[in-house]
Amino acid sequence: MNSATSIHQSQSATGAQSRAIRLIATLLAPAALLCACGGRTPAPAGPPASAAGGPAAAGASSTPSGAGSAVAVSTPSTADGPILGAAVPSTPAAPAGLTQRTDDIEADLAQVFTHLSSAGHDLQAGPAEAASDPRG
Amino acid sequence: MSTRTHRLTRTTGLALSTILAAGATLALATPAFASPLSSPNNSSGVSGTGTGPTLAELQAKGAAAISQREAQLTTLAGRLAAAPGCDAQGAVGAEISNDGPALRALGAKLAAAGETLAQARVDYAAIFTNYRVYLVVTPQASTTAACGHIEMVAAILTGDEATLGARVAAARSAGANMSGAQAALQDMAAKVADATAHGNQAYSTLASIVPDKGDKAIEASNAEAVVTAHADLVTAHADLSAAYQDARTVVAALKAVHP
Repeated sequence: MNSATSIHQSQSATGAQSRAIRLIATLLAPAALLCACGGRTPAPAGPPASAAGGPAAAGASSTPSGAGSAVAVSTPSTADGPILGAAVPSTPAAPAGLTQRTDDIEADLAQVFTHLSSAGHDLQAGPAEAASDPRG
Repeated sequence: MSTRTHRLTRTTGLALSTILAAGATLALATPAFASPLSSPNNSSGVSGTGTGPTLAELQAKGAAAISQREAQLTTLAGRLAAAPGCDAQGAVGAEISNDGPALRALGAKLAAAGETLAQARVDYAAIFTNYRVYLVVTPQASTTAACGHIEMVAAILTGDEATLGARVAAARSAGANMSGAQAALQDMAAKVADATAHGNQAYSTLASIVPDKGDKAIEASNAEAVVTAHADLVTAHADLSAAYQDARTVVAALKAVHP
C-alpha cells in the first residue's frame, strides 16, 4: 500500500466515522431525553443477545468481529453497514447475556394476581352464600 | 426499577396481603359455615303440626324461594363461566343448567289449581331438599370456579418457571450469583405442583356430591365434603400466592443483575 492510498483510505474512514457519530447522536438524542425525564432506558435496537448467539456473544461490544457480534458498535469495521444495523447498547458496561428483560414475566404475574384475586373471591363467596339461606 | 413500577409492586403487594388476610379469616370462619347444616333452622320451614301455613302461604313462600334460587343459579353460572377449566366433564355446569328449569316446573306444580295442602307441603320441602341450591350447588360451583382460576394460575406460573429458569441459568453462566433466585425457583415449582394437586382434589371431592333429599346421613357427608374441599382450596391458594412471590423474587434478582 502506498502512502497516497493510505491517506485516501484514512480520509474515507474519518468521513465514515463522522457520519457514524452523527447517526449515533441522532439515535441517542431521544433516549437521552427519556432518561433525563426519568423514563425507562430504551431497549437495544438490534436482536436480543439470545437471538444472535446468546451468552457466547459476551464481550462483543468492545471488540466487534463482524458476523455474530450482537452489539458491535464502538469500532465499525466498514464504512456504513455495521453502523446502520448495529445495536445501541443502553448500558454498555453490562455483560451480554444478562440483558434479558422481565416485562413478559411481569405481565404474566399481573394475570396471576387477577386470577388469585378471583379465586380468593370465590373462596369467600361460596361459604358466605351457602350459609345465607339455612333452608338449603 | 422506575417509580411507577415500584408503586405497582407495592400496591400489588398490599392487595395480595389483603387477599391472604381474607383467606385466613375465611379459614377461621369455615367451621361456622358447616354449622347451619346441623342447625334446627335447617329445615324446609314447613310446620309439621296442623297449625302450619295455609296452601296460599305455601304457594307464595315457594314461589319466592324458587325465584331466589333461580337468581342464585344465575350467579353461579356466571362464576363458573369465568373459570370452567376444572369442570371438563361439565358435571357442575349441567347441574346448574338443569336445576333452574326443574325448579320452575316444581313451582308451577305448587301453584297449580289442583294442588292440595298435603301435596304442597311435600313440593315445598322438595324446593330445598331435592336441589340444595345453597348447601350443595353453591359450594360446588364456587369450588369449581376457584379450581379453574387455580388451574390457570398454575399454567401461567409453570411456563414462567421454565422461562425464568433459563434466564437465571444464563445469568449464572455470565458470572452472576443467582443462588437466591434458584432457591425461589425450586420453591415456586414445588408450590405450583402442590396447588394443582389440592385444587384438583377439591373439585373431585365436591363434583360427585348430590342433594340429600332429606337423608340426614347424606346431608352430613355433604357438609364434610364441603369443608374438606374448602380446606384444599385454601391450601392451593396459599401455595400459589407463595409461588407468585417466588416469581417476583426471581424477577427482582434478574433486574438486580441488569437493571
